[in-house]
Amino acid sequence: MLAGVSAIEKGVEDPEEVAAIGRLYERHAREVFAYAQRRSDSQTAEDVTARVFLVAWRRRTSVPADALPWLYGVARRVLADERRSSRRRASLGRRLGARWLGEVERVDEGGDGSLAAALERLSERDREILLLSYWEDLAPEQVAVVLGCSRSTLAVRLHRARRRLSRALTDGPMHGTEEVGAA
Amino acid sequence: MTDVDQLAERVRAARPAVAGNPPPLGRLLAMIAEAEATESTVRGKEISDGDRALQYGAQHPGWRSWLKRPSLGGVVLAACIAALVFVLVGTGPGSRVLAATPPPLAYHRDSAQSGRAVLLHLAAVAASQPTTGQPTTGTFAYVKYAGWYLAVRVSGATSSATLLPPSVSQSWIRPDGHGRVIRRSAKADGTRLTETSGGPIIEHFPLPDGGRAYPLLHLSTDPAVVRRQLDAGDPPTWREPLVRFDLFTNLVQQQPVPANVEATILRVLATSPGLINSGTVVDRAGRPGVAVSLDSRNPPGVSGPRERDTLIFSPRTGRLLGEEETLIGNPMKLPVRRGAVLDYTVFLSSNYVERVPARP
Repeated sequence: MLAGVSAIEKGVEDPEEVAAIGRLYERHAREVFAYAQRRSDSQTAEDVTARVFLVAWRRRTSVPADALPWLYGVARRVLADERRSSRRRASLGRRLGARWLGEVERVDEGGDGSLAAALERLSERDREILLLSYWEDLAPEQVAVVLGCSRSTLAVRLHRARRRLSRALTDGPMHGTEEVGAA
Repeated sequence: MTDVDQLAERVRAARPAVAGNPPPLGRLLAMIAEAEATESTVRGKEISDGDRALQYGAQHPGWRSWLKRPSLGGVVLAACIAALVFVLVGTGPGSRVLAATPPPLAYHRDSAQSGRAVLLHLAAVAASQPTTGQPTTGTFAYVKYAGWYLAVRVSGATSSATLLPPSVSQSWIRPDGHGRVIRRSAKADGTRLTETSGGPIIEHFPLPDGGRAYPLLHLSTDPAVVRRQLDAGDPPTWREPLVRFDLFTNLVQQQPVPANVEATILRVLATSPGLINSGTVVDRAGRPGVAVSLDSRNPPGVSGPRERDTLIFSPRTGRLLGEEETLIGNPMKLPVRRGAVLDYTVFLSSNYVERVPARP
């Protein structure tokens, strides 16, 4: 018996459904939490994780067998909502947006901040394609699920994102945006 | 190694480490329970022949808000409690495990006064009380209340009850209707409720997705205004006096109601037909009270179980102490006995405050 399941299995819903969401949580909560924390902070990641699985519960009939990309897709939208609401409240949004850059700067072998700066200059979509691929270790078809596009579209986008990142790294942190670089 | 591989390795190597852990599964389950309680109410508005859920709610803000704004759903008002039950429950045979509902309060009828006379007396008592100030811009309406409700799920020929624990809620609501609610579990010992020191079950600021913000009501001592507020909204095709009881309770649950306003409300309520003097009672917070009840009526063409809504007032101040709803008549497929408590709300304190507390 999963811890906590007995608390609601008698009343809220079908015990099997409750057990199923418990299993899904045990299988993927750490990954969703890690995904969210790499893009925000621990407190936000906790909230986002809980909200993601609440969405999974509400849409439990449409969660695919390969649930993780689907969960990442939900997390991405929940995080976006969080950032929007955070911005409305205060400067928390800026802090959330900047935290991961500091981490990358700290960890990156180059040690000069170039990778963080290059990632920051990418569009959100390009950056997310790369981070889903390299941080979350998703296969292209899984990244396509997260971003809600076809596999062929994702392949093109991934290729372009790599190229833009490479160019941004080459150009260095003080050079222009990706559009300037592309021109 | 290609350039692409090198790039991938560099990005991978820069992946920030993850500290901490996801929240415990129990938090998710509590959120699910909360969401289910809310959504079952919403689903109850759209009754289908398949799985159907309904919730009797007293202290749940979603349910209250739903009732609070008749203009947002005229369909809700008259049939909000009784009619849903009637339609949902049906009359066919089905398995039934009786829910362990809270013990009912003991009422002592020691006066021959009519319910109307009791309300008018309470109105006079309330009118003699000092009146607190109205809210000003930027202040929060603070209300602390406890409650319990029975959620019933009806699926085909079977029904089952969701037995959530009673809870103590504190809400801080801005004039625009947004605010924070902190809810903690409470303990029930017989008819007495005890606050616990457990962590918050739910906290939201602003109201969660899907919730609506209900601005604080502009309160008035003009009986015509009060009557209009209690009868506000799109007129449904059928309504009953009981709805006014609900709207009054909603109001007290959302914001402090000055004594002179409450006196006006009680005078308007006193014009309702069918008022019952339920006598004296000790409420679930251990306070002496006097009780006035109304029984629900069946919408035309509908038969089924009915409920009694009882308002409990302080005889000393005339202020509303709480509300109790009990099942009267044949429970049919409801998994409770006749006379079972369906929900209760106990109002503990209210005030206007300048700020909400920090995140607990």
